[in-house]
Amino acid sequence: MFSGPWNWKRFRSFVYLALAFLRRRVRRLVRGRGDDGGITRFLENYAAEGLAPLTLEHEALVEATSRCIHCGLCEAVCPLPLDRWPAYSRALAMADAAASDLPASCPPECHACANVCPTGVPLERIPAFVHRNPTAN
Amino acid sequence: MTVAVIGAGLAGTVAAARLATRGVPVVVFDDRPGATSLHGGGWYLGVQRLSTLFEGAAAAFGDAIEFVCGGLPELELVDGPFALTDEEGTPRLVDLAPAIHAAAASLPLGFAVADLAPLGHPFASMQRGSEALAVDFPTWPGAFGRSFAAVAARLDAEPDEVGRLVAALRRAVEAAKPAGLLLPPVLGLRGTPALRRTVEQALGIPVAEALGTLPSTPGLRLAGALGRWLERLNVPVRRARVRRVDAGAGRVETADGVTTVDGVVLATGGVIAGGLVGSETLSEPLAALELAPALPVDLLDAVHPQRPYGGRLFRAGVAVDGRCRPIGGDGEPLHGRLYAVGDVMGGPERIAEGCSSGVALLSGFLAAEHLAGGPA
Amino acid sequence: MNATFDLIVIGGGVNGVGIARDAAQRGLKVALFEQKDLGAGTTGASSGMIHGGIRYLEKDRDVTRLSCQDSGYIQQIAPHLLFRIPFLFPVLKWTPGARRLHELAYVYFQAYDEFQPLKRGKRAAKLDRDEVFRLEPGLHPDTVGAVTTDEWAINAFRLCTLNALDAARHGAQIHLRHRVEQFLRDEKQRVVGVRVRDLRDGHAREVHARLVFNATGPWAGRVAKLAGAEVKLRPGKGIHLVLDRRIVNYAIIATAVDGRQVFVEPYGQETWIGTTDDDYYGDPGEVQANHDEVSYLVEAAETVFPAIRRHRVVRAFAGVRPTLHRYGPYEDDLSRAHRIYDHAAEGAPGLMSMGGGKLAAYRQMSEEATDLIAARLGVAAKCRTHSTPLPGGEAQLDPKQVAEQAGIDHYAAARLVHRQGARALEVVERIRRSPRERRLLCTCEPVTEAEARYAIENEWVHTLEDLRRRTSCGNGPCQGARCARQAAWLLAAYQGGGEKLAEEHLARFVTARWREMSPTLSHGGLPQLELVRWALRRSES
Repeated sequence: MFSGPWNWKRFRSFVYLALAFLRRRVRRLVRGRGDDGGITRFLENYAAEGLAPLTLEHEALVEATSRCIHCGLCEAVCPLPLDRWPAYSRALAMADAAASDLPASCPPECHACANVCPTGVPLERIPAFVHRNPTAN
Repeated sequence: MTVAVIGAGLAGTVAAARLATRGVPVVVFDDRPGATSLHGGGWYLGVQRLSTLFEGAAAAFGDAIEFVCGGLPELELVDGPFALTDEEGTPRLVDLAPAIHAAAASLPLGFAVADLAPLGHPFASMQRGSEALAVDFPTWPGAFGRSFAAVAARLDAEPDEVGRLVAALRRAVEAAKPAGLLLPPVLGLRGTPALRRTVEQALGIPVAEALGTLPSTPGLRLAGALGRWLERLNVPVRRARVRRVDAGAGRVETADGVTTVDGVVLATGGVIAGGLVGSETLSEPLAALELAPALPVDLLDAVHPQRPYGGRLFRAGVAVDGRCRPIGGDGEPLHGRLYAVGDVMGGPERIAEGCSSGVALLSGFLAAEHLAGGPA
Repeated sequence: MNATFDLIVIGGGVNGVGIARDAAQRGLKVALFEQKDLGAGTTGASSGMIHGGIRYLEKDRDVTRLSCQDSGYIQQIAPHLLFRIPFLFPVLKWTPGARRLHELAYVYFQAYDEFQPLKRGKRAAKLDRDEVFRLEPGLHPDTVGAVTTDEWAINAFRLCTLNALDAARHGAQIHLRHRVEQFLRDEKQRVVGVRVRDLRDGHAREVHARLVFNATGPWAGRVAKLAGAEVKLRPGKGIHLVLDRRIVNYAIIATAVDGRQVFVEPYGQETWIGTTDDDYYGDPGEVQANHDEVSYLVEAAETVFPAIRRHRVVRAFAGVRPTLHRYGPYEDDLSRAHRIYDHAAEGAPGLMSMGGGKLAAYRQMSEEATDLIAARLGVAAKCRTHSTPLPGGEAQLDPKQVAEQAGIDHYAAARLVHRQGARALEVVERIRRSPRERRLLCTCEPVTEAEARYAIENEWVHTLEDLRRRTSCGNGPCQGARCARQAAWLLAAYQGGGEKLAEEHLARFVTARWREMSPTLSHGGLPQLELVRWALRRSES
């Protein structure tokens, strides 16, 4: 950045950047950290589209589900009419859409899917994951 | 003495069952019971190929097949409607699988009711396309897009569903009047022969199953049958993940402790099951065994670049001698009572060389025979 | 064939179809020839970003304004295809002048905010350490803060398809798998058409037109050379890694060992890591990622997101940028990024070419090229590509309603609407007529049989790879293990073939997938490959 030849267009662009810098200094004096926007602004920006933060626990589950090779055995043995869990587990950003297709949780002690999984994905945890409140932080 | 078998897939179960049958105390470790559920249903034995590889294999093969067929009666492996025998009447499961595969592949979307008209062999004479009558399977039994295996599980669980299946099939059969029915693999995950006979009697024509696509109904049936076999033989199965194996010291470590044994059969499977793991290089994680053909096996060297999917893709596995005993760099067995069987073992490429089930069945059987003091 | 066209466009990338669409809309009679498939070259190997030109803010802010404006136009004409990507620029503890950098980057992004409304963008934010870890706890512990901005990404394959469809609606002929072998000249040496070969049956024919436009991206030099003309490029190879799923919801910028910026980007249901830039003078059609490039990107991403190494890389795709050999003078707006050549001075009047460019600017560049074409051909009609919707962009459907009408999952419906926009209604109509077509052919994405059939019938699908580009069928983590065989049979049936043709389709598909999977196998892909091989093995082997 700021390398390469200079010309009037660049000079003009640079002046605007300098103005932006001055504006920022002034606003910072007036509003303090409020001008940063921070996490509040960020979350407001993206809440509507469900682009919510993940916790470390969720990221660990995402990592575990990435062992899925889409063999489909879990779908075959699930006692609920639930298919395509692995596909849903990919749908972080579309959690709302996927959530309406899945029940909120599995029958406790079932684990039929996890037992049959050839790569050891903790499948029984996926419904709750898809149903996490996407706007919660 | 006690032998630990690690992994309850086909190879591990055959080994454990054989040991138990021979009167050797055995304990099986497996953290997940369904390991074999990807088995496609075709029994590629590769008798000729494998007979030359292992000591005493040629003599043992017949016994091994008989032993497994006897242990898995619910699979209709022999004496079922589609098992073949050769001229001398010896079971030849080998030849059955390609025929079924061909039949399944000829059904574009995996499901059909076919006219099996001149029923010499149920599949050999099956015509493609025009004579196949497609049944709108997804609209039955209601939930769209459910896999055949899921339908099969439901037929086991809910007897009413069998009635609905028969009713739906009867309508189709009355309209098309075929001489026989080729179904997708939906006839239950447990009592398949009984269910098939029920449908056959209700419709009055021969009923057969083709192999479907993933997920594998035959594989789930096999997984269940293997578990029941061990149950019948009273072989204890510990649902625990083995962390480490020290054959020299006779130690098998799990999360909740150490089990002392006198022999170990490693049947932990290939890459899918986690018997071999790899990030930069492939390795055997439990006993840190040497891999064939050489160490270190770089992943990309283990993969044949020229023939994707069709050729020898994974040549690496635990290096073993002619008795399925893991060997060290000097070619000598590491330990007299440590065996590696099934997919974790190096050697023949099971898909390309057509011996996928054969490797498991034969190596499991042979290892047990050796541990039990030689052929019975 | 003596049919005379006004314009022949060579190349079915985003610029080729963009020009074909614009020209056809202006009433020109257009034929387009593409040697492979729509978007199969550079377009499909791009990062898929429709960004607003933030980097020009310090060179020429008018370029930024125009880029943002065009991003806004593309949103209007194809709203379903775009998706928002928040960007995080983490500031690391050991960066020299970290605090000042943090502040200055925020000032820079605030300056960008001025143009964000043009593309419905969101305002920048400055995050302190606590805040950034609440948003993305997987970041490197050395992160001391971050600044954020907002960009859009697009499904580049669909963008190509929609431009081609709209061009066809306006009378353009779209010919895929046709290679231009020779330029036709009249007695005055003017280029008056091309000799093309249909690569499917080997049949060659001559097609005449008043003007020929070479929009072949990295192939531009080779094509121009057929006419004795020159387009001097410095082709740059770029690869992207595709992780099997979204592992983050926000794109993260990282710095590679050589100081280049790379990104980890949530792209649809996947995560992409890009990109590399190396000189490449080989055949653009044979470009393939290699093991070192994969490692380079993983290492770079690791500096900001340490867990990345434990995630699974499914494949790596590679493409060649048609970068201009020498940048033009700075005063000319976008000329440093792209250039349009008239080869008249080189003894090839009637032939024009384009070099350089980027996905986000495709519409502007196509407009600029078509303006020149229109001027040459004496056509007064003005560009309307920014105001007329692309097919499917006419209305925004509610996926929930589509799900109910079609009787499919909400999730499947949402993906369908993303790809097809308002055209999803035609897929729904198919399902109404034939309910069994609601079956999922590809469960990863997911794709219904109805959508696959719709694409095969309406969108020039010749191979399984074409189908993958149109519908994403077979593009998921399993790379076709579950769907490819069934899709092969489906396609073969349309083409009047049986098992043999289906197996040929399948073989070509797995070979193409293998090219993208093999460089990544050491990053967690082995079990998947084992399953794919099991599932797609030939029955006789």
